[in-house]
Amino acid sequence: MQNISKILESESQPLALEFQKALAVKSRQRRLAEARSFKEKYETLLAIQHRSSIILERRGIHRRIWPAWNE
Amino acid sequence: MKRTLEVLNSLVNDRVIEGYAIGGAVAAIFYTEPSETADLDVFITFPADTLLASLDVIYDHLRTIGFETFEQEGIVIEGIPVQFLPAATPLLLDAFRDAHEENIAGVPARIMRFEHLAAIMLATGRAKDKLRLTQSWESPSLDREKFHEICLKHDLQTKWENFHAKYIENSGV
Repeated sequence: MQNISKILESESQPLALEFQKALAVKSRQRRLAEARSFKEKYETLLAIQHRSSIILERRGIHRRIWPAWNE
Repeated sequence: MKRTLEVLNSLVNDRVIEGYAIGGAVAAIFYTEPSETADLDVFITFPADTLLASLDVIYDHLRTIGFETFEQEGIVIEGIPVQFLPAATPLLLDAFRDAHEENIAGVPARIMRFEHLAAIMLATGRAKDKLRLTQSWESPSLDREKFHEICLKHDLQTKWENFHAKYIENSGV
C-alpha cells in the first residue's frame, strides 16, 4: 500500500488516474469473484448452455440442458 | 447438480472408485466466471486392490442404480452428462491429490485447485482451453507463483512461455 501511495505521489496526474482506475477494476473483479455463490454461477452456466443450444440446434445438433438448481 | 454429486459420493462409499476430483469448466466456476461446457469432468482413481481397473466397472455399477443413458459427452447422472477420466498422467494425479473439499448445497465434493486446472488447460491446449486459460490468467484468484511451480514440475514451462507470448503479451492482459 505504501508503494502504491508513493507511485501516486510521484507519477504524473494522468498516469496516477490510470493507475487508480486499474486498481478499481481489479478490486471490482475480485469482489465479484468472491461475492457470487456457486448457485448463482451455476445458473449463469445454464443460461450460457441455453444460448449455445439454440445455435447448435440450427446446425441439427441437439444437446442436453442441465437441470435447474432446485430440480 | 446436488443429486449428481450424491451419486459420485456413493461411488466412493461403495468402493467402486477410490476417490474423485471434479475438474474442467465446472471446477473453474469456483474460481472464476462460468464458461460454456457440456459435461462434468470427473477425474478418478481406483482402489489399490481392484483387479480390473476399468471404466466399465463404473458404468456397470451405475447401470444397477438406474443410470445407463450415454450421450456424446458421457453417462447421464441425474440430468448431467458425466465424463469419467482416469487421473493417469503425473499432472492429473497431482491435481487429483491436491484437490480440496467444497460444500455444494450441503453435499461435499472434491474440486481441483485453480492452478492445476490452469496447468491442465495449458497441457490439453484445445481452442476452448486456450480461451479459458487467458480468462484464468486475468483472474485475481489464480496464484501465479503456484501455477509457475506446477509448470516447472511438469515440464510445461516452454509451452507456457509460448502461450504467454502468443495470447497474453500481445493482447495486453
